[in-house]
Amino acid sequence: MNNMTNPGLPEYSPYSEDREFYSDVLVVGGGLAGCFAAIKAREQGASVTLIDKGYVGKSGQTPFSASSVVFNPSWGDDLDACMNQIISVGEYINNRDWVEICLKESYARFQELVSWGVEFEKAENGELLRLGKGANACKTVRREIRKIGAVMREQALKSGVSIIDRVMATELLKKDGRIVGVVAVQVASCNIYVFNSKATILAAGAGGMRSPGMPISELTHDADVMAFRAGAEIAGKEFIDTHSTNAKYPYYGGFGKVAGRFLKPGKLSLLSTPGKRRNAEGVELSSRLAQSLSMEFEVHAGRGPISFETSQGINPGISQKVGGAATGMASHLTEGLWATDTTCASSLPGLYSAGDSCATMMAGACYSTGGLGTMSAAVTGARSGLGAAGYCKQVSVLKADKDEISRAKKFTLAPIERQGGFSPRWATQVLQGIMIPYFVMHIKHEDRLNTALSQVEFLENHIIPKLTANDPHELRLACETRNMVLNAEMRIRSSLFRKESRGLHYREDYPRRDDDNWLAWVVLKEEQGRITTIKRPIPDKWRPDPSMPYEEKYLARFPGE
Amino acid sequence: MSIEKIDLELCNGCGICVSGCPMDVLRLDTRVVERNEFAPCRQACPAGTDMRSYFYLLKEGNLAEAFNVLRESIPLPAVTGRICPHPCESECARNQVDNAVNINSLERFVADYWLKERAQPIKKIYKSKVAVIGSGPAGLSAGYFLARMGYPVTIFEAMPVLGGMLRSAIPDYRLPKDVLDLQINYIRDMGVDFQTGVTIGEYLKFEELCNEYDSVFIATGNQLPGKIKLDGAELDGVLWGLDFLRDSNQNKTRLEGEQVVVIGGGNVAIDAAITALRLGAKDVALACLESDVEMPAFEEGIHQAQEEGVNIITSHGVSKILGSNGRVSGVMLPRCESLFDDQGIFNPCLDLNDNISLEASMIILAIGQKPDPACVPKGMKTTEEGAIVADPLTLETSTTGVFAGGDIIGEAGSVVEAIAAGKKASVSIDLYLKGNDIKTGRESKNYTVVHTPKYRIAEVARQSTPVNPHRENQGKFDEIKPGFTHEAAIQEVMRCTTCGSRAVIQYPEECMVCEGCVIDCPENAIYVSPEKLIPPLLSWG
Repeated sequence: MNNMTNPGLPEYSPYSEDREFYSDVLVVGGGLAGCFAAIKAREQGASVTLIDKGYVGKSGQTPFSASSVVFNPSWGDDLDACMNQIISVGEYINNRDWVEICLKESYARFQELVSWGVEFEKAENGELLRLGKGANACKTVRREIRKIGAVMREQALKSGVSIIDRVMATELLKKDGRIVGVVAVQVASCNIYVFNSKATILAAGAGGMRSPGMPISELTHDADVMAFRAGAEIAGKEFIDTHSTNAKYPYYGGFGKVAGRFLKPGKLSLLSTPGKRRNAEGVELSSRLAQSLSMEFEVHAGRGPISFETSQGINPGISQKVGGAATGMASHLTEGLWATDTTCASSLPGLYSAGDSCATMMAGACYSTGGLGTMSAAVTGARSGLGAAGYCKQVSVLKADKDEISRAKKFTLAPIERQGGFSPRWATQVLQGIMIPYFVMHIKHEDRLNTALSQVEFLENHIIPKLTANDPHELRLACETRNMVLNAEMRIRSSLFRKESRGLHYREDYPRRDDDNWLAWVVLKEEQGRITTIKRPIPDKWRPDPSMPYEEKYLARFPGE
Repeated sequence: MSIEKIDLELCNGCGICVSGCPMDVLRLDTRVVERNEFAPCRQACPAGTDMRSYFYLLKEGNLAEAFNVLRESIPLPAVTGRICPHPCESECARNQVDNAVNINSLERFVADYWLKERAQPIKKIYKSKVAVIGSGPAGLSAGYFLARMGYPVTIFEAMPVLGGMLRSAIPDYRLPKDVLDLQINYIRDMGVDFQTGVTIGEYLKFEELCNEYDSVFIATGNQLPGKIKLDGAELDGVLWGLDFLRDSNQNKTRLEGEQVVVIGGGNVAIDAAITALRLGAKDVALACLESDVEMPAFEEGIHQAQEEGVNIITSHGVSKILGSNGRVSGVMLPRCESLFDDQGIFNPCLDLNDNISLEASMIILAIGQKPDPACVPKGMKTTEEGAIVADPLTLETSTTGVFAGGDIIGEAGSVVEAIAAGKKASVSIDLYLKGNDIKTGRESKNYTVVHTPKYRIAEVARQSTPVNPHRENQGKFDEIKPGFTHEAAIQEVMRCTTCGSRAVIQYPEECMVCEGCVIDCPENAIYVSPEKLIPPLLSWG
């Protein structure tokens, strides 16, 4: 009967629909970073599997990204000027090595994208259109949204990457201290897929609280949380993204211009035009990125709502801005798995990260310019792919023990095997109620953070262990809710730990930057079931000139400083 | 609302929105019960297999349900998954994009995955008993479907072993006997009773059978070789194709000498030629009247024979078998000028002056089969050729309550056609036993989906059916085709465009209004409203 045994069947249970795979490199997440990682690792000769809980090429933030920073000295770009722009807005806690790498390697990644078929916008004279604020600032190129994903998918397939869609990675597998794969669940069937690998690259993006306004509800910090549970170091959780939405159609507004661009002509065209933000007194708010929290400050002071005025005037409702569209996320490339070196290796052997799952700390405390995230996703993707492929050449295959696999499997399937409990949709709503109000994560105070923390801890201790799922779809929701809640706790703990204000982290009770104590990063790690916080100072050589006056060093003003 | 509506008139069931939704909001309805629309593959399948439904389940990772759906219409999926001529694939809508989905190999994958699964006994809810004569594919199929309905069924087989032509005429390298055994055991486990070594007419009279059973299905197949008058046919070393295959299948090697000439262009001839090679013949030639495009054998088999080294001589008949000392020594093959006469009647015209002469130590005549008159109950209406006359719509014979199907009614065909006949008979028998009119409503009212997915379907290479290199198989009867790996099967099933399905908004709560589905839908069938409201806090449930 040998000729009938199907080689695809896992050995340990001939009638189970569970499946087991091996590849040298496993990439989790099929956005720009994940695709770059997969393609680069494959180019080095590694066998590569790329999995995504959605669909590679349509997932993550990549479909909505429209611009990329491309730095090229032969176009007249100045490295120091660009770096200074990024670092001054990032308020000096940028990782300068990474800023330099991302800028310098952006052109090579751009050329690759062009060669694979990504089209960039041209000016009327036929030359590549490059936009930027000021002569010496970083310049971005633009492309049509929603197009890049399909190109990346095709290129990955062409390179020989094996793609498996609709499979959600839930738990990392360990053996002798090394990460040797993941356990994942097929979202439509609850089948368990075991992926064995020499190296694993997490590129599952950042995430949010599923608040309306940003099409990132799919992203729930799956990578950070999985890695954290396995013992990896996580950083950057105190900085908060400030995308907003509109009051009338909250689910449509968050991406503003971007959302407007893909709507059919004539429909909500107001969203697609640039405009000015004014408070209730008619005063224009600064558009300086460092003052991204200005809307929240105005509302907090009682001068809301904020109107968004375009060349066509003010449209009640649509023009009315509301915050919190991306609550739960930080600036690009600032949160996630702590990058221990320039190959995006995490603090755990065999584990890498890329894109918004990778805390390079490149953007510092505040994101300086549009398009930096996309290009850094490409750069970190490529670097993690090369790093992981190199690591594969040095190590032999290790396979997780059966006990370890069944532990991860049990953990993953717990909600669907439980008879009663709480609905993940309800738990998510409760979490949103705790975390989305502007006075929790945008305008912080120790008292309010502690209040939120006690509620989030209640969710973690009493609700999450009793989440239940009625079908495979709800199992995915349960896994995601579990991740969002842990991410919330990480955010609150980091925010409590950083006793100063900086960039996108504003503490009412500590409204000034504290260079003596806080030119440092906050790193989190699990120890004996509890989150521990570590302060990791930036290298002395990167500290700003101490003789520079505070107002000159820091151009953005916080209330009460 | 968020994602609000899918226009079911426009939706073509391609499933792009289902797989592409980052929030997993959509599902496919592949049954679409309110429409009598079948996918082209299903319409082309004589047994009416609902490919799009079980392929979608396979896409979704639900192998168990996929198997159940496949089993709704196919009683021997591991058999058809190996030897079905898959007319479905010629009609596959994917042909408009690149190549047909490898439906046959996917069928086999699902069937093999569950090959060792034992059937649950099915409760017999009727008292009326049904007898089936013959355990070939038609008989097994009728037994399977009647048992599923809850009838007590007994299948009578004249031979000591079950399976009919599946066992005697199909060589091991195409259908291993243990696979056939497992498939028959499945039907036995369901509760079908098998009586082997019972020839109706000898041991048990047909009239007695009719007295004991409430309805009878005759599926005895074509038992006799289609013999022709031929000089030299009496010589030692001349064999009939079916006898040769049957002996070889029972490990009774009957190869004589090393030079074999097979006469005939059908599947039996092809299998006889390949079998002769595998038994160790050095030179095997196959001569047939038909030209290469007219040969009735399945293309796959012809290709395999050529691959293995069979010399196929098309457009040549046989005029004489040469012999010396009572043994075969060669054969004269005159060129065939035409197959049909002016009236379109099969009447080959041979040019006896234009001959190929071949030396041969053995001649295998495989020129068709015909019904055995001994299998036809006395008084039953037959055709001139001896086939039982049966109503094509119901398969009822001239005797009320007695049905016949498959080769015995002259519809010589493939395994899937035999299975379809068994299925059709089971429906007739059910209606008959309940006292209903067996004709009303039997005409097919289904029509094929015209509006099949074509646009925005990325070209993806078809996973071809794996074939073991033939040289390693020389002299062996191991299976030629090893079957899909799980990976190949999943990759291949993803190519199915699930024609005629409809997308369903299954989990609207999760829609994040990104409009990806709107943009990707090739038919502009999806409407997403901007007016999604933040939902009120639910109760904890």
